[in-house]
Amino acid sequence: MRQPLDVIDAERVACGTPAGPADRAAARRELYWEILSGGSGFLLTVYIWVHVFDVGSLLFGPEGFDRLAEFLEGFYIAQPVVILVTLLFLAHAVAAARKIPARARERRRFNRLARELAGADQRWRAGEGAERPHEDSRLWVWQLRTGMLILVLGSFHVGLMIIDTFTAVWGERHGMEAATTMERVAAGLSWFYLVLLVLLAIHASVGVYRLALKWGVAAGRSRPALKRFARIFGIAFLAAGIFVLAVMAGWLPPPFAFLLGS
Amino acid sequence: MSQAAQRTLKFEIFRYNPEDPASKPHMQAFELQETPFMSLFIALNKLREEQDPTLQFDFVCRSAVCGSCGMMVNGRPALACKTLTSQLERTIRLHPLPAFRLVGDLAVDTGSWFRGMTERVQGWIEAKAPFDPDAVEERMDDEVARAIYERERCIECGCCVASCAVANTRPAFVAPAGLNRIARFMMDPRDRRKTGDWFEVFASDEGVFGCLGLMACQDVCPKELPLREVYAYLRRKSLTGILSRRAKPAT
Ligand code: SF4
Ligand code: SF4
Ligand code: FES
Repeated sequence: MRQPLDVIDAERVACGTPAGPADRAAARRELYWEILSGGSGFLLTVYIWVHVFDVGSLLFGPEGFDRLAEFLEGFYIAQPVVILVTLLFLAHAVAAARKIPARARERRRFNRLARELAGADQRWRAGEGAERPHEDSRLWVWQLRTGMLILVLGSFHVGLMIIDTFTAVWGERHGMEAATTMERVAAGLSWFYLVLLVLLAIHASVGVYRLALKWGVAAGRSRPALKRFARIFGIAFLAAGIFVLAVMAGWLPPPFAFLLGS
Repeated sequence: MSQAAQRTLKFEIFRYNPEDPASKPHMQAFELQETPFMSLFIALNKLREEQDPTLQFDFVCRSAVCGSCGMMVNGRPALACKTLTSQLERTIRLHPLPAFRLVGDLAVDTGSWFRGMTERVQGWIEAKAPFDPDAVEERMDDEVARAIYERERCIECGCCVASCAVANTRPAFVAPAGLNRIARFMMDPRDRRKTGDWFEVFASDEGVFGCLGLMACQDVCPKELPLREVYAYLRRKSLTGILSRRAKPAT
């Protein structure tokens, strides 16, 4: 028989309600943090989509890629964007990490609750989205996991790009070059980018779902409907990304290369 | 619904009396013959009558109105009077709601918490003008009236608080029922307070920004309150609330 320990050693936190003085400045800060984490997440989502398309210039062959890169760099569009996205990336990580239960004890309590909810033996009738194990909670856990991995893998990628954009360490000139990029990817980074794509697709689609939920976007839609939308969104991103990656790694020939006559 | 084959139910019930120093928390097993349309309310009363008169649990209305019978049923917060044993497997595990003060066995003290919460968020109407019994009642927009009613349907059972990860780890969090209460009075046109007065109450880390938005609360709420709407409403209000001034002190 299950031991009742979970119940008794859990802090019964709502025993007394400590009425801390409501602090307006603190509330304001909290609002700014929330906007920062949600807003940066949203902008980064938009950015990764744009990014799939600009790297997608490779579908027109290496020339297409180089022309776009030269254009973006020549007009000083690429450089500020690289810096801006790096800052957004870091800001997002910091802002979102604030919500991770920092103390081990809290984490244990979270897990216990989740286990209990997941272990409920019957399909329960309740409001919309009643399912086991509690799906939204599980999605959030995956959002955290993928987020942490993206922080590691993404930092590496962003680092590479900064070096590419601002130095001539690789290739013949300052800036991105199709040749360097393709070489790098073909040499084995393709797997790295594949993993990163999958992580981003999961992370961003859960993020989009939760952002809509929190701020009441499409409030008339049920949660399962929102989740369906998010899933389609994630799969579309993944498909587009993998297609571009396949061309980059040389698994597929650039399909539109003939347009530029190369 | 035919209930021809009656099962023998196995109950595993959490037992502990904090008042009695000799009492140790443990699970106690009971067996009970299932009857047609048996709710946990009926089952527990039968157990107390026939098998163990010391079993502690709360009931008043036995019709999902008073909110006193919330407990963990197989790890999920639910109203015992609204849960039929036929919805469950043969083995039924009952724990008291977490987070709240334990009175004994399955009984917890939700009342003190809800009172404290109401006082803290000032969940009451601050009338715009002294009540005039002769004046014609002010009209209220139908949509607003309905929205207020939806918030007002909360029966204070505490199931949402018990399911909320944040409420279970942070005592200062106003919790789902608290956020719902705030929204109810914020949208009431009879109240003189402005969004600026509410801002630090609901927009803080103890308010809606402490919420992770995983909606366990909505999924377990036995009255199916639209809590998702509440949080979106409060989040949006925070955007204007930051600029809104406080109402002038009452004259
Ligand atoms: S919001 Fe629902 S679950 Fe929470 S106390 Fe009210 S009725 Fe119970
Ligand atoms: S959605 Fe918010 S209030 Fe509801 S259970 Fe989750 S953290 Fe708690
Ligand atoms: S006894 Fe009143 S809600 Fe269950």
